[in-house]
Amino acid sequence: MPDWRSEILQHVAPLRMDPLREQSIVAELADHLDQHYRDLLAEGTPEEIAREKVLRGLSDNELLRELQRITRMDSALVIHDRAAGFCQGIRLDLRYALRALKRSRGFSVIAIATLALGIAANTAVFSLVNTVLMKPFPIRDPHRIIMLWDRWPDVDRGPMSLDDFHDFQHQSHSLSEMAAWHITYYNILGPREPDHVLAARVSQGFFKFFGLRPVRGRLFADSDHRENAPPVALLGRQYWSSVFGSDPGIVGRVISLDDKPFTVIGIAPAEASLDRSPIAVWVPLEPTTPWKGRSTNYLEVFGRLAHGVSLKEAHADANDIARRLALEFPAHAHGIVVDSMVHSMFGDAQPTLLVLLSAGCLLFLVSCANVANLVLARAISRRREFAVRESLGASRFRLARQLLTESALLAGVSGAVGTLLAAWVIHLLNRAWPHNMSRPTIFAVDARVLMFAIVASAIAALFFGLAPAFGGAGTSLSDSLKDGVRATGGYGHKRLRTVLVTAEIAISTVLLLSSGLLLRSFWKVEHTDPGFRSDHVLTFGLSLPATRYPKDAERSIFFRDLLARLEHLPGVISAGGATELPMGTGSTEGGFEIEGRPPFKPDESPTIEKSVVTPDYFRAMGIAVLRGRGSAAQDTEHAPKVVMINEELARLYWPNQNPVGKRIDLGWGKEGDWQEIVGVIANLRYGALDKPVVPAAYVLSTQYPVRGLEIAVHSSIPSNELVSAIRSQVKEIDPSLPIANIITLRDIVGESVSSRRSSTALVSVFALLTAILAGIGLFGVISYSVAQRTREIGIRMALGAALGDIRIMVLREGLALIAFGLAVAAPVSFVSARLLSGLLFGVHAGDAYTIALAVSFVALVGILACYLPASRATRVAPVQALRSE
Amino acid sequence: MTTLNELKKGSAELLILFLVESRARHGYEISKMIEQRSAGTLRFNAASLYPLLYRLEQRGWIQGCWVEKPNQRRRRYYRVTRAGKAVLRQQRSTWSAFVAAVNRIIGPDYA
Repeated sequence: MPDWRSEILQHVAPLRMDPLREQSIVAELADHLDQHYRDLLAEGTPEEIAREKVLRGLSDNELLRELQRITRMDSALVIHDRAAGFCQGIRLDLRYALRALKRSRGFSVIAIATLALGIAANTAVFSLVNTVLMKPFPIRDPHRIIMLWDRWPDVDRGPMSLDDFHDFQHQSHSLSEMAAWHITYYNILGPREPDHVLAARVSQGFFKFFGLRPVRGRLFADSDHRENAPPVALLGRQYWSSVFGSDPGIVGRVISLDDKPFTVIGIAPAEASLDRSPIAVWVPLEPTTPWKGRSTNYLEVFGRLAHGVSLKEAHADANDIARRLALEFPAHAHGIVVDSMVHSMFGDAQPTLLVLLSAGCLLFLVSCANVANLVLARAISRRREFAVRESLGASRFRLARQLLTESALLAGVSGAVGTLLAAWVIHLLNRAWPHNMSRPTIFAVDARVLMFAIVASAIAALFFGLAPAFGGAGTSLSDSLKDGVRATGGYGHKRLRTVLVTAEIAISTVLLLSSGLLLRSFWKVEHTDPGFRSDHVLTFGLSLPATRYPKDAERSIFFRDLLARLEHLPGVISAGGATELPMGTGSTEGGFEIEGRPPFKPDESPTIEKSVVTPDYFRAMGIAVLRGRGSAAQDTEHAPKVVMINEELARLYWPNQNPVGKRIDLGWGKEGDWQEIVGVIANLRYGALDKPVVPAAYVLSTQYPVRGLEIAVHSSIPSNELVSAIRSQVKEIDPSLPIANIITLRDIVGESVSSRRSSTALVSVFALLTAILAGIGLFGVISYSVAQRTREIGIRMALGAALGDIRIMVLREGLALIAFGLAVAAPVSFVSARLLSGLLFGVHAGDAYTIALAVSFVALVGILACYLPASRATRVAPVQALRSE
Repeated sequence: MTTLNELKKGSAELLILFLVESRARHGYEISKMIEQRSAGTLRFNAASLYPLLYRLEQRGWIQGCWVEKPNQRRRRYYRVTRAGKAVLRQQRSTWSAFVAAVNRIIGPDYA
């Protein structure tokens, strides 16, 4: 076969085309000639004649002219890229990138690990935001749903009365439909032990309002809400499966709720519980509600914005209705608050999530900066490789594309690893995140989270893929070739790397400071005196059904007997009860009057916590009586009524006085039924450890009998050893009485801060990782600088510089970077601390101690990172250093 | 012969665009098809065909692409682009109109 290529080359060589382009043309023409030649041979043409014929086709000088025109008109590259780019280019680039990354395995592993860490942190946090804020409710169009609250002088968001709800339903123009529910508890007699369960009374059309369908059977029909309708109930999905083993036969059966028969007509979907813990039993609000009219406020009310109506317009409309109602029923006048449901239910979580998201993003940025630094360092050492390729005809564009392909590959792998890592972190979060506080939130990697991870990876790829391109501009080809194997980075690269490391130091300082403040807050919260003993106290709830315990006396006897039995159990020190335990689910707030003081005006009426307690409650809870006394034997039903108040109430209304002996009215008895203050007790944290102390008053169950109590048992033995003994004691008195929520007080307290604990832990882990990454980045820059200055160091040492001088010289460079980073961090920290201030507890955003600690930590990591290269610099042998170029 | 060369030049772009419209073809295939379909009247040798192809490619009317098929050496295949299709449509109708006009003048009916 004739050598077509050399023939063709003779024609095209004078054109001095781009080598790749030339190669392509030669190959294509050779193929053409070859095919022509074979065809001629096949037709029987002798070899020599065929060869001549084929070459004649080439001899047209039009070829040269036309090719010349093409070469002149357009850089060969464009044609080459257009022609080969899409089919071959990408594949070749990828193959080449893979080979390049494989060749420097150390670099690849570190870069992928660093970046995967950043992507994982970011993706995991995003999944929290995604779950909590972006798709909080799997119900119909949740963002169009609003909540309506009554506003009273002392209550910002109060529930609504049944009649008010109906009036709003009829009069509202801005809401297309409305729904309401009331969360309550029922004693249920099921297949197992009697149970005390969370229940909801729901308004007509409640499930339709949220676009929900039954899991089994049917939901409530309008007829179920009529006055004399047969009593029906739904079971919650979770309760149905855990207690009834998902038995479909339950539909149609009769269950007992508070000793009354209800027919189960279906199973309600889990989504219906909204932000609550799973609701076990659902009943129609009407006719089961005991409170009609306007005097009892107990309903949480939802409305759906009509088409084209904004929240603001709905608010104005609701205010109009409230004003009209106030004129009509002045005794029940109140304002109205309208808020989106998502904000009402998750507004509290927003600042925490925002902080977490920021921390995740910052960690991601630092990991990108670190990889950019690595890529820059590598680009410098590859300078010669690129110079050679450039001299062989590759354009700068071509080389930039190659670099971008490499970083895209790197980012792609990191993104995949990071997403897997995030899935694992999310798995951990699902276990650690506080569930029982609200609805069971399950964090998951869904399409949106995956999309986020992909976008994050793409941003990363661009970020560090283009870094060498920016830093590399301005160095000439010949310089790179001349520089030898260990080419210098050029001023651009060095400056870019310095900027990146400074940014890393600044970001890690900000994050460390934030996490420091959160940690200090958490420590303060943990060490806040709750005002009661939380160790060795077991609590549970009991509620006596009115059907079997209709009289006050019967209930008093029940609780007295039970507490006496409990106190006689081995290991029990004392037992007491209260209508509300601190940090529990319930709370009774209300106003009061002081004897001898004019009644409070409606708009200044104070709100205090009110509880009924048994005589031994303070003892069982370890609550200190500071002045006067606690309960006494003489405080019987017919004795003068007594009350104990907390320090906060005493401080507010009897500052610098002894309130003991004064009389107040909590409004629980007849009018003018004053209660004498007999003692002042220590402040208790009611809502949570990190919530402020509220004024509170306590009356005695011997004087104010109650239906239900939360019991606290203080023991000398571990609380969990008491559970079965307590159960059997309750069973002995009343076998059908359920026990609710057996839990230790320590767990209740822990739960009240669990969200703070989780978020503090996450931010701290992020901050620590960021600091380590920044340290690695600094290490890289200083090491590189030392390597570059080997010759200079060698000369200095040859001229007699002491080892210490060299070390200080290197350290000084690192310290300058650290100082600069800290200086940049200062104003940023100021802003971030302000953002954080809502989450702080007992710590000022500008806490000097925390600032000092964070700064020293950064400095320590930085100095460590510089020390290694500094001491390496002193080990340079002068002769070797001088020979190193 | 000179007249034919002129005509060949004028129609070459149209011929190539037409041939690569239905599917991608390599240069030799294109030259072979032109030769066969014109019963040997029209012929393009390598030196005249490839510059044409490169020019069409440079204008963005066709796109070349190296393809490796099993049991075959690597070949560059050309396919028409969206822009090329539009040009083809236009050139085709111009050409038909031109041929019809010429025929009306010199065609057998009026001879």
